Order: sequence, then C-alpha cells, then structure tokens
Amino acid sequence: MPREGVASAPAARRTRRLTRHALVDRLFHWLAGGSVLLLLATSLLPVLGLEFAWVTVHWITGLILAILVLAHSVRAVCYQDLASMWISGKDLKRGLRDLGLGGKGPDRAAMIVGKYSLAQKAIHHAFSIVLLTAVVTGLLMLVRIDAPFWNRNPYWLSGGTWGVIYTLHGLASLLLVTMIIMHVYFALRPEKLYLTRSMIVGWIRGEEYEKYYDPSGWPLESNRDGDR
Amino acid sequence: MLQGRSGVGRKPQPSEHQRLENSEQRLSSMEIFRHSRDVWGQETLLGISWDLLPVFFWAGVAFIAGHAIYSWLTAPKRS
Repeated sequence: MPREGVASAPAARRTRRLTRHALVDRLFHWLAGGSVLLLLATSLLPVLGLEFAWVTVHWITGLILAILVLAHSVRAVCYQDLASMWISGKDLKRGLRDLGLGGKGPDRAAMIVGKYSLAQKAIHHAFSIVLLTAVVTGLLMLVRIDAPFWNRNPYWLSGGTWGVIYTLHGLASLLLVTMIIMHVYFALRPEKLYLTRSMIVGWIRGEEYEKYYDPSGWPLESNRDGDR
Repeated sequence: MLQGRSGVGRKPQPSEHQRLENSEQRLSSMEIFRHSRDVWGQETLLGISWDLLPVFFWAGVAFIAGHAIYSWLTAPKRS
C-alpha cells in the first residue's frame, strides 16, 4: 500500500491553484467591460429608437473608461511583462497549425507557447486599438458639451474635422459590437471556460497548466503574480 | 372579422418581386456616412451611418456560426 504522502503528491500538483490574473487586473477587466457595455447601451439604444437622457451617463462613463485604460497602460508598462503580449514567430506558427495550415491539419494537442495564445493576443491588440480610438475621440468630443468643469466650444475644430472625429468614434463603437459578440462567444466555449473562471477567481489548476501550456513559454518562476 | 374575410380595407400585400425590389433598394441606399449641409450649403461629414449597426451585429453572429461549424467539423472523432 503506497504511503499517503507519495500517493497524494501528483494529485496535489494537479489540483494546486496557479495565479493567472491578479485581483487588480481582474478588476480592470470587469470594470472596463461594464463601462464599455454601458457606453454602447447609452449610445446605441437611442439609435434603435429608445429615447432617454443619455449624454451625461455616457460622458461620465467615458471618463471612467479613459482613467481605467490609462491605469492599465501604466501598470502594463511599469509593473508587468510587456513581452508576454508580443506576437512572436512561434505564436504565428502555432496559429497556422490551429487553422490546419501547418501541413498536418489542426493540432489541438499542441501547447500554448506563452501565457497567452495568438488569438488572445490578437483580440487584446484589436480591443486596444479600437478602445484607444473611442477614448481619444470621445475625450475630444467632450469639448462640445457643457460640463461642471468647462463650457462647450463647438468651434474649436472645423466642421470637417469634427466629422472625422465623430466617424472614428462611431466606427469604434460599431466594431466593439462585433468584437464583444466574438469575445463572449469564446469565453463561453466549453474548452475556454477555465480561462473565464480564471478571470473571475484569478487561478487555473495545475492540471490545466500542464495540459495546455508549454512551461518554457510561461514558466511559473517568471510568473510575477505568484504561484499559490 | 368581416373586413378580414372579405378583404375589404385590407392593406394590399406586395408581391414577391416587389418585396425583392424593395430590399434591393434598401441595400443600395444604405449609407456608410451621415452628411448634412452647412450654412454655406456645402456637404459636411457628420459621422458613420447607424444603418451599419445591423451589419456589424450580424458579422459577429456570422463569425460565431462559422467558427462553431469549423470547430465541429475539425473536432477529433471519438472512437
């Protein structure tokens, strides 16, 4: 009969909890997500015919989102590993294999090279570009409304320039509709539910780490968020 | 009830051909941008057209359907 300590060691390794997302990153994700949904609701519901006083809620939520994006950018540059978001040649090769373009068909058993897959990095960068466009154009548009700290000045830029700013802001909001649908779909797919759980509670299990991740690409020793 | 049975007062229904023609007209008249005229009568860009909202929504739905079908077709067979 195996000794208790020997028999339970592999089981303990499989069920151990490994931190994937720190609390501050999860808070950013859910607060930014909630802000974006509120911004889309307050801008697109009136377009769909539901009339209400949306401007104040919209610009205040927009300011909150701008602060969240700024805080996330500072944290990413100063306190996190920016390279973990870089799309490498290995990521592209793995992505091609996933699409069945690697010569042998889709290889679902292949490990994810780093902490994030190619698809996760791609959607993160897409969200970054679209959200930054929405935030910067939105901040410029604040000039055109009266607020407690400033008076409106609609003549600050020419009509044509305002048209371009409004077009970019609107395009960003429409792109967000498509991207949120895709993001939620992937979050709810059965094989990705462990990632959704990690965005709620912060951790993945040891068995999930061993099954999906190449330790050379996401070594636990370099995991700044710690290993519980 | 009587009106409904006899057809009196019922709105004339468009034929299939007319319906197709109307939907084609809607598609061809779909604007990409919103414009207005300024005080000098010049056309000014206002922003992106909200007619595009269903296009972006259905693009997301189409992506989901496409990916779900692709994943199902390429899933490893259970023996």
